[in-house]
Amino acid sequence: MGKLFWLLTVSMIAVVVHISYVLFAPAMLFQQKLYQATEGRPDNSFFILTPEKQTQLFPAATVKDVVGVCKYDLGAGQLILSATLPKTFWTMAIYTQSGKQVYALDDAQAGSNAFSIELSRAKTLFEQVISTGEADDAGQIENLGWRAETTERRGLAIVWIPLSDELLRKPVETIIKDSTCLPKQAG
Amino acid sequence: MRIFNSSTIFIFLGLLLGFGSALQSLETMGVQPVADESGWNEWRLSVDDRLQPYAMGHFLAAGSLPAPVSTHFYIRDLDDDGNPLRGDCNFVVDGPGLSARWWSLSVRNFESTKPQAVLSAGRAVLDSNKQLHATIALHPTPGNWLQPDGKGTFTLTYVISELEKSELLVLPHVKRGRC
Repeated sequence: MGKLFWLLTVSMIAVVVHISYVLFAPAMLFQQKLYQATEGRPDNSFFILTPEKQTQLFPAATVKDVVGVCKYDLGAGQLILSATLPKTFWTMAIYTQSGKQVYALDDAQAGSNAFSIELSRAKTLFEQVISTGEADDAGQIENLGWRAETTERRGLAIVWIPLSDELLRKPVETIIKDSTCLPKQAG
Repeated sequence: MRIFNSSTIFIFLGLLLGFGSALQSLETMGVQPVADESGWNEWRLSVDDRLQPYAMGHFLAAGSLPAPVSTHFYIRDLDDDGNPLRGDCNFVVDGPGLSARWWSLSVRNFESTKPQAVLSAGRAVLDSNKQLHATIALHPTPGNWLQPDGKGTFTLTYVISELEKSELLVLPHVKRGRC
């Protein structure tokens, strides 16, 4: 009986530690590494990664591609990500700081190479419950473009432009360098 | 006192088992062989895949973001006959050209700081039957050529974005040539 009890106890502890580590530790490690990788870059700014850094942060990309990053912080409210991209295949994905992808858009879906996305923080369950008497979100949308919600305050929006030739990198960088991610102006 | 000692040992054992199995699983569970036994392994990043937390955890723990959900990410470090992919041998990659919006085939040595060799949609030359033939070799070869970084082992990575839904995905074969 005693042996069975301890066997169950060891198994239970092992399962709880296994699940907890798999679900939470990688996200914490990622946040730490992300902080080191983007140190010196202000929040709510758009920048282009070097080929070496882009394959480290975003392994789906190769050294020939161009990867632009918006390091966002919704602490001050909504954010507008405005991008001008080349007429080729591109993907924009929004991740939370724990690495969860919350939104994705590509050139075919966007239908335009110059677009803006309004990014805001999703309401918590508690906020949804207490806001039942308020006007719904549809009435508050001013931006006629794209709109995304994220569950965490901080994270990264990644613009990935795969290229077949490294010689195309410079011209593409010139096209996308004026992209911005800035807090939405009040009023 | 004896009960206290044994309980401490059992709790420690549980912690050790849980921690060890989590580390091991993050390395291996998220990447699984493709069902067609082609030798390719796929990172199981689809949100409805039960192994997705392991695949995602693997990338995050390395300080990387998983590929967008519309992207398939395959890797292999062995050829079709089970030989390790090494820079001191030539390897031939054969398979159908894809109608995906984007694909890239790259030779990566994760210990090297040198840029990886890449062959991608828009750059690769397909034959008249729309088949892809590429050679991985240290020295230049005619046709599609990928140069590994030195004579050591390398990993072949195949990234496919937005495959046509009607298209049956057939991954390329990798055969060893001259060493």
